[in-house]
Amino acid sequence: MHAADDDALIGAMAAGDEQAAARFVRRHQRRVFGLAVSIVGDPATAEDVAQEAFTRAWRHAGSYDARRGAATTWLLTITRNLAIDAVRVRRSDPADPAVMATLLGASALPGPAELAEAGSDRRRLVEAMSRLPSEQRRALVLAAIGGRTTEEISRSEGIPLGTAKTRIRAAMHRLRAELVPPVPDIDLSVEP
Amino acid sequence: MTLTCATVRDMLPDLALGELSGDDRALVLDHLGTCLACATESAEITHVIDEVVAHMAPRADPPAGFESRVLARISSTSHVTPWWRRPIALVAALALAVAGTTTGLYLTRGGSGRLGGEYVASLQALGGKELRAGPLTQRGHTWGEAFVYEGKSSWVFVSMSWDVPDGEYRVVLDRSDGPSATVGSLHLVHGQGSSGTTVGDTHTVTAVRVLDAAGHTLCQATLPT
Repeated sequence: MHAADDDALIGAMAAGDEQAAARFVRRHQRRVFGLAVSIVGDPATAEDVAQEAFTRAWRHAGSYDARRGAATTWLLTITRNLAIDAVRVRRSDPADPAVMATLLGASALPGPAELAEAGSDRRRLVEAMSRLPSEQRRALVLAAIGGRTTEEISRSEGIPLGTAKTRIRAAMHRLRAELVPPVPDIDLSVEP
Repeated sequence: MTLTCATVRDMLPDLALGELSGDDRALVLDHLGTCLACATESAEITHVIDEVVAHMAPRADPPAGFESRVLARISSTSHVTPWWRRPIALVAALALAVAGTTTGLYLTRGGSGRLGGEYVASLQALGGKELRAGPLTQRGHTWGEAFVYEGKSSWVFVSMSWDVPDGEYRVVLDRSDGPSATVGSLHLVHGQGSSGTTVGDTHTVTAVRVLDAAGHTLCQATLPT
């Protein structure tokens, strides 16, 4: 899947091309629905969220700017925000335990064969995630992908609120250190 | 009330995860608009969350018929066309610059990047003094754009397209030489709207903010200087 293909599809969508929209939906529906269902739990609500995410992508295709981030990031951010809104409006229960177990289990991290075929960005992230202490990885996944608040994580994990907060922050800072390249020092000296 | 860098940095993970209350979010965003180091750290933390979601979120087959239901919905949904891609609106915006008498043109792309060389040429012909633009952002995501033009007649134009409740919002200018001031309102319907207003001068404007009725900053554009 190439980012340039996504950019071209979104460009065509902005021009009103419904065929391009069909291809875009076909290409991303598993990711969008998978993220939605991991946050809201209920498949019917997840479908509402996923439908709305694609509809908004269609409506706002003209505002998408590839220089500000990949199309998948844009689409999944829309999905995540909609899913979290749906959770907070419609229910207070956590996502289906079976869904979360899959999300958090050993199978959540791809194996060597899948990693070998993955893009370099994904490989880098997965490797960095695998180096996190498991309790930090779990807290981060629950917050970022499960859409849980720190308080919900504290309750579901049976840990103090401060501990939940510390785990999430530690995971984010460790990943940041590994994923974000350091800003190079700039030599401002002037040669004589 | 202002926050220190240390306090803001402690709050950035919550900001990235959308857990901050309105008041705290507004305070942090105010700080990010004036502190490049904290703004950079905020963008990096948001990037981490985006990467985790993009690469780690599980994939799942939607129910049968999902694609056709989405496409049926899309077929009945109109596009939101950004104002800068509407020729009439662009001409109207540029027309405001006609009144400008200038000592030269300074046009910066800033964070916007949407203004091409053809607009530079147009504004040179019209005689503007300075046009600055920046994306209206919140938590690293772009909600719209703000334009600040200075000429004989100076103006501010704000365009937003994001999922926020319908209603009236305030447009506020922050200045390097004085207090912030409300300069206009922005009416949003289905998360979209635009608004322009003339102002006295713009050369000391450092940022444009959109506030809700309670006075919370929804998003902010820091202008290049």
